[in-house]
Amino acid sequence: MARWGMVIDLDRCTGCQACVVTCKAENNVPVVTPREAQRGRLMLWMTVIPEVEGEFPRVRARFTPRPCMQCDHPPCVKVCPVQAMTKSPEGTVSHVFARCIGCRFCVQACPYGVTYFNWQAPTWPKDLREALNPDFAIRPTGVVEMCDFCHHRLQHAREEARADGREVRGEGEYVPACVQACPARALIFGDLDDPNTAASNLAHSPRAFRMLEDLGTSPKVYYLKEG
Amino acid sequence: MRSMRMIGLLLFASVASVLLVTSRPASGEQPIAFNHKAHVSKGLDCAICHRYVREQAFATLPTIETCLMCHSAKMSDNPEEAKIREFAKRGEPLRWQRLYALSPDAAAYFSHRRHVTLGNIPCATCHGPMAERTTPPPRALVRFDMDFCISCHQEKKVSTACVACHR
Repeated sequence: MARWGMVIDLDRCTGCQACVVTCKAENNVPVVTPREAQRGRLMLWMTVIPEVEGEFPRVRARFTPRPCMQCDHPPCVKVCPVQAMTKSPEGTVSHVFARCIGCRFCVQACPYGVTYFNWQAPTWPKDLREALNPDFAIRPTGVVEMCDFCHHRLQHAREEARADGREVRGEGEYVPACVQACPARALIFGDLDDPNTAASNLAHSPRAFRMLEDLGTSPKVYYLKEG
Repeated sequence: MRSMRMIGLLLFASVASVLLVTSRPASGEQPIAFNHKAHVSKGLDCAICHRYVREQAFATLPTIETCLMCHSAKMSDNPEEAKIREFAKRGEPLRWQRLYALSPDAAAYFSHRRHVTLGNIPCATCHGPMAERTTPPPRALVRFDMDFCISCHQEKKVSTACVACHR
């Protein structure tokens, strides 16, 4: 069985935020007003964290894309009292919105801050409302939401593979929206257990590291150090 | 922690009791009192009218053009049949009342192709004895909730992981 994971090449990321925009559109993530954002209620399942070093004229910017880390030992799943946060047999951490009671334990438990509580009924400007993705649920108010590696895309890929009587291929057949959109190809996605995938090879490269690795959460999102 | 988990499970049980599929009664009558039995007994396959049921996640309801494939000329004295040509003459589409719709609260993914083509599940398992009906039913013949889905999934030994269906 595949173990889906992502590799993010920090050397390639230009900070263009295509992944952020794509994620918002793909997963029907509501638009948050600036006022709400100031209150810390911004919802970005995928975000790019900028870091500026040095002073003019020697300025250097680093960009760190940050989706859900999809931990192998996810703290959010451990604390969820209703088992709404679940880890699938393939290792993907997903959230079942219909189960969530909005207790926000997972928001507290996640060391990466990638779980978001939706305080208000989702709103979109008129044009965006007409362009919502029918493949993904619109969440009710008062539940936690987060990146699940575009699990609905895996459901589609699995169905296609099943029709052909095979398993989903380790590379290329199922990719999250952010990976598909990245123009710099900084995001690489695939089966980490398959030695033939680019993702698995890069995850084992000496440049690879994971966020807050010493916590023991074993994220399936690997970063490649800048060269 | 243990009591929290119990409270959570109780709350979930109440959520789970919400019907997955809203088997809503039709707000009005169907435009044509379609006789399923008469058609099925003549050997017509469900997919002739409910196109894409084997190929896509969704199934469709027939358009007037589908009916006219056979009924462009008079076939019987049934007044319901004459309605087809009246609709066509007026250029009016058939506005079938949909009886099955996946509840948005369920946030579940259901694919007809997966169940009909890949799973070989007969239509009647979820849609009831539609082939025996001589008149349109006022509401869905089978009422199903998550237990209905889960029991079948367990029986057929397919995934019961939440994210196999929910999203």
